[in-house]
Amino acid sequence: MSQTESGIVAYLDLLHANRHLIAAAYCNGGVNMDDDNQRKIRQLQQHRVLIPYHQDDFRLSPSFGRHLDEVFQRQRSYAVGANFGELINRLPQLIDEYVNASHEGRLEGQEEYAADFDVGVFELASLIENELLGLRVITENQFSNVTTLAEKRRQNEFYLNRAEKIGGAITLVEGENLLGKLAESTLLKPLFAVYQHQIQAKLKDWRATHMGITQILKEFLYRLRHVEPNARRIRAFAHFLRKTPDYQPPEVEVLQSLPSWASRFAGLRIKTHPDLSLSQARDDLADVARSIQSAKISITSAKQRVAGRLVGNGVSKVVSVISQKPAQIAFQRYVDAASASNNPLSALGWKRQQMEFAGLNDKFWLLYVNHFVQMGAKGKLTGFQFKRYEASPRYPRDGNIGFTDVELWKKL
Amino acid sequence: MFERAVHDLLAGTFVCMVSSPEGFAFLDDESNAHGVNDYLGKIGLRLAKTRHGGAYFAANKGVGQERKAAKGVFTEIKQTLRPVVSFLDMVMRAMQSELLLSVGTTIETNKLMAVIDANPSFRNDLQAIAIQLKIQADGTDRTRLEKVLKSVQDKGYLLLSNSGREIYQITGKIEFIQEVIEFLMEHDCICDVENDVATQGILV
Repeated sequence: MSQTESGIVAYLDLLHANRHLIAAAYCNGGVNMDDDNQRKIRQLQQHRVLIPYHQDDFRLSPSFGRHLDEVFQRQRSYAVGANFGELINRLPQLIDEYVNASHEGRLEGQEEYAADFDVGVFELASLIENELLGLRVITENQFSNVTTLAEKRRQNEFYLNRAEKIGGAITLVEGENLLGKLAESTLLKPLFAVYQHQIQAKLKDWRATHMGITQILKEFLYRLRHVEPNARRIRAFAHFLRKTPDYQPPEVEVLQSLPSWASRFAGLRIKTHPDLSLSQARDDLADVARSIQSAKISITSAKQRVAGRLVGNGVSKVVSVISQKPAQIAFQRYVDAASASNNPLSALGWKRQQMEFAGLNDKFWLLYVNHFVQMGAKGKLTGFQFKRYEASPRYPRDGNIGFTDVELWKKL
Repeated sequence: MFERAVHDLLAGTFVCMVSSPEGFAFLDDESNAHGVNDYLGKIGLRLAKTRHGGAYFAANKGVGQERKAAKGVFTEIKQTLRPVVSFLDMVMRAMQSELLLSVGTTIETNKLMAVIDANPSFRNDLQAIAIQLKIQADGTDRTRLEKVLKSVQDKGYLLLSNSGREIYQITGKIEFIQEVIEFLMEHDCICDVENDVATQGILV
């Protein structure tokens, strides 16, 4: 391990050993020296971590504080960002010194200037990125660190100015001045490669981010400028409404020209149905159907008696009268008539004589009689005979049996 | 995103940074807005924007339809204007912030309740707003405030962005009601009585 590395490790060990003190100084804005921490504070002071402020008060060094701000993304109002101009102006000077060292054959000096250029470009790129990131956070938070409208407006204007400076820096780094210088000699090829990798490759993204931030800041500023008059207007209108309880907005009919907001579409509810003809949708629909729980069917007996109560709560049963259908009545009467008749009684002939059953269809009536006569009408037709007058089939092989009438009579 | 944005617009929603950040970003792109406008144009609508650009909404295109639509809009305004204006005024005074009137501003129920609790004038205001909104509450100011916030949310002016902490956010529809108020004040010659209001505020 080199001497420099060992020194850095020792420094970091010191920071680690005093981490609680440093954290307290950062969070509380400083630490007070007493008998217990005196030795530690002196050590940190020697390493420029703490700086004396007032009597026994010490504060964190601003550069160390800035580092912690960056790590913990702590926003400071009106934070002064990097001086991009100086950083950018340093680069051509390093290039010139690199060329001079090369021409003079000072290899060590050349390497040193190349390393400085590398670090300088890296620092510049890193600062631009950090500034853009910081601005984006502030913009998206809409200056949430301050509460009043005036503060927000002032901060907005400040950061808009800051964004313009970053824009200027981006213009400078992509300008011909620096790029032309790097591209003019093959000697500068290693420096140009560093520049291309760390700056040029990122320029497009920086430009886009910067434009987005600037636009948001301008829009926000525009809105902030309108908030105050709008608030005043609402307060005044609310006051007017309180004083004028019967106030009603004007009717549309009395307005000669409509304001643009009045054409707002009220909206509609869109209801869609699945297209079952789509085979692709079927699997999805099947999944949906499977996911639906089956409905629970509970059968409750109407006759169930609640403990301590009578069936149906003591209310007497409701009598439901079953009314017979016309065909049933007609058949019953036809059987009665056949029973009283001495001759075979034609079903069709009998029905046509009964005016009250005129509404019964002949075919249906014959079918009905035929069916019940064949079935024996639940034993009521014992002692009866019947004859069916079959018609010649319309299609000999269709298997259907056609008949034109049925006769019923009492067996002798 | 096209589909979602069109659905929201057809449902009569104000598409803003709060109600639909993706939809708002989509419509903020000129070519996307053009596409949506063309689509709406086929069904007699157009894509409209509030004056300060905080929300997009669908508007009627035809002259004949505009009158008919305007009647509906004016009816809605008549029903909601008084409670909404009273609510905005009360919250602005209670929170001592005019920023309430910008899209995305948060309203913390607990903070607002604490201020209302400490001031009888605000309690009276809350009661009056609840009556205007025809809200039935159990008698406590907390329930009343919750119901008022819910009602204002249902009307599209608020969005419950954190249900756990009961934090609401102002939606882009605020810009719509601001335009309405501006028009009504101009039409009915309602002058700006700021001094009068300020004096009242101090006395309260």
